[in-house]
Amino acid sequence: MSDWQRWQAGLIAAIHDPALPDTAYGADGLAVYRNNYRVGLIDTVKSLYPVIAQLVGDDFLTGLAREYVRRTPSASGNLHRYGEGFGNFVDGFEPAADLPYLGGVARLEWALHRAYYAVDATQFSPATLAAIAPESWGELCLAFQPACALVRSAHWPIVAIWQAHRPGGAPSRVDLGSGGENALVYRQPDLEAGLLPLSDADAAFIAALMGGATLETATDAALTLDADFDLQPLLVTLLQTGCLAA
Amino acid sequence: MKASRTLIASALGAVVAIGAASLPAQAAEKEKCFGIATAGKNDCASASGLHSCAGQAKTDHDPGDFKYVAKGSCQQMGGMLQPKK
Repeated sequence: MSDWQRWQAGLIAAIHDPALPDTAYGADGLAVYRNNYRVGLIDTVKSLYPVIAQLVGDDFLTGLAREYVRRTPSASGNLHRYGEGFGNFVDGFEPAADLPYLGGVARLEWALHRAYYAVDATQFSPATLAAIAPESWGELCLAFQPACALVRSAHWPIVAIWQAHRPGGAPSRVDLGSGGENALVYRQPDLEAGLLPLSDADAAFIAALMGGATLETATDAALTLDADFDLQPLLVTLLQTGCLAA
Repeated sequence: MKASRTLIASALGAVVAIGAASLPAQAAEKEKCFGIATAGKNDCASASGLHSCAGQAKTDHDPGDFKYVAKGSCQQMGGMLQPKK
């Protein structure tokens, strides 16, 4: 490493970590860099979670974002990728423990955010199935578009909470005791993110497929939860939302 | 036959029968569409010079920001093919 490379690496480390000494770079100038870096990331996180802002208010979200940024360095030069894991952070953050559904709602918002930026993979075509012997269909492993994500909450109605609190949405009464909810997030042809509520059996089926299970194993997993699980409407939904990849 | 195999056989059989006709078309050609991007969802630099990069739009539907949409769908959504000067 040359002298100037060492100097630059040191400067970047000092911007990221306010605990490092500021003497080598000029304290006033470094303070400006440190502040811009921190505030930029805080603003980014806040812009990703508008429903959390509705739920807890701007001040509390700013506090959450500040603490998250303090613990989470940016791993990419692309700001679009910053903010993942905010939901998990919120789950483990003591001052937010009174709002146990917050983390699930944040994971839903992250999936909706990422759906916009995900790469387009080639669409799955039903014609592919016709070329495979029906006896072997159970052994198929289906791939998903990168824009598609499954968000599950075992205990909280995250879809209802999200719908009632998104900016511009109509406020409605949410029964927090109504149990867990699951959502399939995907990208619509107009590039807006779409969201579909899923039953537990549907979610188990998709989770199994996303984990690399065969169609038969995934169907078994869904049937274990619900003996009346029906594959056909779910499969048509997955095709119509463009969630399956070739 | 196992219940899951029966389900798979009938569901996939139906999907093959329906064919590709009822499914959404693959997004094909794209065009730049100005004035429709919401804050933070623009695809590239602002034509009005307000910011320098994708994702930096501060306001909804700024006529200087574009996003890529399927060709032919821009004006339907109330956008413009050229930035407003």
